[in-house]
Amino acid sequence: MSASASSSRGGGANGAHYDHLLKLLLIGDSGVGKSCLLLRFSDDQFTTSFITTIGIDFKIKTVELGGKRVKLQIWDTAGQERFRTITTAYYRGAMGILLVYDVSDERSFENVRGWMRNIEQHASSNVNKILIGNKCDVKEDKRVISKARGQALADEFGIPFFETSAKSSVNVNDAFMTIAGDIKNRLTGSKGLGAPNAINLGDRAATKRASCC
Amino acid sequence: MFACCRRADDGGERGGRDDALRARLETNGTFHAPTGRTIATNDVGDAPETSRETTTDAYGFALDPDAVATREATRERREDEYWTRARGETTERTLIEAREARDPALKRATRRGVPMDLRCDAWFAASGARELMRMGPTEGYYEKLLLMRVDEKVVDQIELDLARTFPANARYERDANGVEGNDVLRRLLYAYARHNRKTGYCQGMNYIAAFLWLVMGDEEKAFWTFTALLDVVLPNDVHARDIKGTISQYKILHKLLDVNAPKVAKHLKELDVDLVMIASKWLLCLFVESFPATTAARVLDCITYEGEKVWFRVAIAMMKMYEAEILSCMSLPDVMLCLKHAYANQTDADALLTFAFERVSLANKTIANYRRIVEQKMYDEDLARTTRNP
Repeated sequence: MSASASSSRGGGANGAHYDHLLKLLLIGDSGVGKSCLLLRFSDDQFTTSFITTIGIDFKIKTVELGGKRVKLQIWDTAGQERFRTITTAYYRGAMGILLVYDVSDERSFENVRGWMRNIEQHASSNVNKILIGNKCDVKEDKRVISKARGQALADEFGIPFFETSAKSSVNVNDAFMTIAGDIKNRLTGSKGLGAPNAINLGDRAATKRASCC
Repeated sequence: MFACCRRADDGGERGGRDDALRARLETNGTFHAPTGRTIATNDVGDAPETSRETTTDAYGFALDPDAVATREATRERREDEYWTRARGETTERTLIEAREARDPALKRATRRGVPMDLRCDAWFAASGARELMRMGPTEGYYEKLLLMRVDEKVVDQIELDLARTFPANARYERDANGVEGNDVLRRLLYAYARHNRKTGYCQGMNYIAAFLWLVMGDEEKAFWTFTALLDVVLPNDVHARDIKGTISQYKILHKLLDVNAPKVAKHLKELDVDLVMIASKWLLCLFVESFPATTAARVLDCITYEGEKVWFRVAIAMMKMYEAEILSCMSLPDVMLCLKHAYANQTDADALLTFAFERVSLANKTIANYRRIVEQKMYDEDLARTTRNP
């Protein structure tokens, strides 16, 4: 997919008007709750009857940021390693990446470094990142990664950190809105504030309305 | 037919068994033969269960109320009389003999839909599963596989996915005999991971295995049919560690679209849409996660009997049937949503299969030719990469 921050008024998969289009990507080990975070953020829902993500999926949510309507196109990836051929191809077009681990799963935390290496290899160098420790609603005896360890790792990478719970709806909105705000500031900051067509990188959805969906 | 319940640890390999697995098998270690459902003979193909209040189809999948009317209509169709003749104690053998004789009547009847009550036998025979089982490495191979060790990473991934496979399906949760889908699926996937250690477990396999069990009702036959599909019917390495077979299959699909649906192919190129990027699940899940269950079963009738060529036929047919909708998509996400929608609502299996067999021109030779070209190119690229970064 081509990177784009379309700034013309346009419709798209959800038909809503927007000033900017931001593309986000969710990555992390299988089972850490990427799809659940996305469902909580996009539809404010949680379900225990969730299905395995095969390959890739996406959702759209339009939000208000600094008086502008910002359409977030959020790509949700399969966590299993063998899908990397498919999922890493989405890194390049992403403007922001949410790297998720599960606070009750040591290995998913250990693998964060590997995911960061993937980002360095495949994403554009100035991509915004955020570290998320999900499932913070688990009982203390199930938790294996303290908040301090998560924070320390995020500090080491110099990126924002949130502990979230898609289940109890803790910090999910904040995490997504933080990275969206960071991206918007980066893009509008460097190109002159909010110049309408300054960052139009050619998403076709912005120029012609899709009629099939 | 297998005895109704067997202890899975009868006469297995004692060495190398995994304790955790053994504990699981001791609690859940039985597997079941088919339920012996009785189904009216006019239940051709995939009619929903008869009760008016029912909101699920015969396989336990929730039905879209708007689509019920369509399916009620297909219920009226009488089954191909081939099946009426074949039905009986010797069904399985009849089907195998007919398959070996390449009986055109069987092919025609299969394309028109295998009746639900014969599907287990038909898929078992048509996919080559029966031969695989008969020629299998040892007597009681499946049961032996159940007792062998599985790689810890594979176990973790399978355990994660059990509850995430058809979670809304009531029959999967617990069938009429109180068998839980999770337990069956665990055994099927563990067994395959042991049978094919190189592949182990790849997400997507969970949907295929669960679907086969839901339709066939017989765990061991489902295992062999699953194994036949993955090892024999589908191309190699679809679920391999680098899913190379999936990547090459979609490259071939794009080449076939250039010829069969040039407008769509051109449009996809303009939008920079690579189908493996947005729809790898068509192959990884063999359509069962994309189509309504009843349509998926009809497609599998033909894939088990005629092979992977049907996969191409169906994928191309869908692109042509929804050409206008795809052409009006203006971005990759639009195409993805459009296709997702088209597949999820394709309740009319007759229309799809008629299109796939009558309006998609496809020769085995063409596929083989493209496969050679694509695989050679991937091999060369691989080689170039490794030479660059040894």
